[in-house]
Amino acid sequence: MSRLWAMLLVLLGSALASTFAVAQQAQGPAGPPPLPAGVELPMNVRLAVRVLNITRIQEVEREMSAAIEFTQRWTDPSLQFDRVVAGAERMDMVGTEAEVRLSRIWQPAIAIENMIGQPRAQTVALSVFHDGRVVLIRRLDAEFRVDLAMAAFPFDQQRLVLRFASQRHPAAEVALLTTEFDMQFSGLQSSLSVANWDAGSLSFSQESFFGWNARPYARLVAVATVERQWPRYILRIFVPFFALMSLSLFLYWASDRVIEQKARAPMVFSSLLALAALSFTFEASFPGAISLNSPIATMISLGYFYLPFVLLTDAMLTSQDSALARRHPALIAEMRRNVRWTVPMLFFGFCLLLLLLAADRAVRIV
Amino acid sequence: MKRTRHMGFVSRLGLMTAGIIALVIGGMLALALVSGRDSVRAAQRAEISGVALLIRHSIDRASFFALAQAETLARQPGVVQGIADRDREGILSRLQTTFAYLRAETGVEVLQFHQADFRNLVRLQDIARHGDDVSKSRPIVVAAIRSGRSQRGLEVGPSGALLRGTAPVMRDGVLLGIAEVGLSMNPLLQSVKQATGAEVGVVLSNAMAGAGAGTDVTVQGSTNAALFAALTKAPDFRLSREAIHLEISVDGTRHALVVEPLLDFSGRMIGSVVGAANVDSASRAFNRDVLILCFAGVAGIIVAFSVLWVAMMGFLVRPMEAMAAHAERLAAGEAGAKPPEIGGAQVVHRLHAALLKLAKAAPRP
Repeated sequence: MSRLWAMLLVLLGSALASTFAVAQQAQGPAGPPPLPAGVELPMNVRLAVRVLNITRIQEVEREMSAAIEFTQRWTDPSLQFDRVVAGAERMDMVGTEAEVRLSRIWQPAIAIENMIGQPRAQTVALSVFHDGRVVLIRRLDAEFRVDLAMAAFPFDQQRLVLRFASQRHPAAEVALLTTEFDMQFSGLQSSLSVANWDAGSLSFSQESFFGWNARPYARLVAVATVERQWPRYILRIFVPFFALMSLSLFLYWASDRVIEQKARAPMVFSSLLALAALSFTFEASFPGAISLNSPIATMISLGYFYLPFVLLTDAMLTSQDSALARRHPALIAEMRRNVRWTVPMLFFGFCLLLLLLAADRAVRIV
Repeated sequence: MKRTRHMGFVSRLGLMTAGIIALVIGGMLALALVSGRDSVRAAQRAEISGVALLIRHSIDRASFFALAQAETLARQPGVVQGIADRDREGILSRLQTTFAYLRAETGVEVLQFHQADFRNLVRLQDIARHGDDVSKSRPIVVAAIRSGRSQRGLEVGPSGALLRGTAPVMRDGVLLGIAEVGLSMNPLLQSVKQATGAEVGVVLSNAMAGAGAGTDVTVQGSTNAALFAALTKAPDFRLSREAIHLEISVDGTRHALVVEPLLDFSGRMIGSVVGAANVDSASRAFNRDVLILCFAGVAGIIVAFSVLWVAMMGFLVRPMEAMAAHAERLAAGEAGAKPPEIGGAQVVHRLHAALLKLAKAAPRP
């Protein structure tokens, strides 16, 4: 009899357990905590961003390695506590403890949109104040997709953009702000690990975009401006190039006794090969300098046309046997006298223009 | 000696030609640049005018919001009864939570009630202070009490320059008092910044607002305190009774400014709302255009002058020099001198042929 009762109890227990499991399944998996009550929407989430270091900028891949710290501040009245009872103004948590607490409270779920994959390292710190204020500080070391323009290389100033947006809440629920207070806590570290770059400033702008559910989302864009240390590039880039291009002056100005006519074409073709070698060297030494259409890439491309043009005009205007030379001997002499000034002047002037356009940071006309 | 004089003439001719070409191309360039600069400035002005329009609209909407809040309160029976009974505690207990919410969420800085005798009944933002006569210092309250109608506008008070709405509290056609709501301008500045991207600030004139002596200004609120501190210190910055556009550089960055006069409820100008847009990128783009146009102009002058100079020298001057040298040799008695290959223009050939005929036909001594 007692065995029968025991079997009945087991059956009843298993039936209850399965009913509970079915009920749980019907409710679905536990979602994130809902938006705090008693706060007018949209929730104002303030963001401060510190770029602690930039360790690498890869121009060709358009990637940046950086250590970022971003601080989120919001107010959740449900987290208020009695500071007298607690004996503290705030509760501080770090690491796993902070993550566990974060999993139980509402948070805006802000992520950096242009971060590639998972961060190499990250830390989290959370402070909950007695009046419901929450301060969440995330520090991470990661790779970021950035848009780099080489049009002004090596005088370029890059705007490294970090895009912050809530993954979960549209703009009607969460507004991202950066106030003056937050700007005081934001910044770009003055000394960076990345070689040949100087730290500039950090600025913010606000955007909105339509998310996956066609609802508008708020986005906060932090722009770290870094400037390339261009004086370090001048000797390495422009001196070899202009040294090669100076051959055109010798071709136009040197007499036959200095450079024989038959030696001129081989010299030019050797220079063209040297120019090709120079462009490969530049690309290897300064990635993106040639492949991403920088001023020096344009100059080298022009150089391939310029040197043969000089050789051609020199040969044409030196020859006394051509029909034009026989018909107008004075004209050929005048043309030769003229092109030895004007052609190099126009070419080097154009190169100077490209450099000035690239270095427009220093050019202020109006 | 003759050659020197001749080259002098050619050089002068060359200089004149170069000067004319430079003048023509330079004039065209100058016109293009002036036109381009005007276009850039017009575009900047249009952009910043949009900011000015939004500022005006936002101020109007904010003052309307303040008035709507005041009207809502003035129509609450509990509030009407409280003012009729001059029940400070009753009003405080009824509205303290509401005021805390409005202050935290909507930027309401002032919520107060005045009696019909111009005495303040209760200030929710400053509970300890009440019972004072506001008739001398608060024109908007006086106007509402005297007219029995709602009023709205900007007024400087102890809480600063606020957008205020005052609504009469009436019962059975009798004016009992005034409900007043004052709204901070800071949320308004933030919303304009979010909509336009421009920095916005409220600048009060110490002299005009009676906040102090001299001509200095005070930045009462802004979206970027450091920028507005620098802008207001710039020599070119000034307030005006009409909307004006300025352009001021701060730390090498150009800002286009629109300065909208800020008039208080009495029509007195107390300062300005300033919108500042960064126009550095537009200036840089124009600078690049200037450089390109200047290079194109100089290159055009060089090419045009070179073509003219080479043609003049190759077709006229050099052949004539050769012809003159040949004629001089003939005149010197070198009858067998071989005529040179002069080339050049047709007219020079004709002249050369005529000269040779003349030399043959001339009687020899």
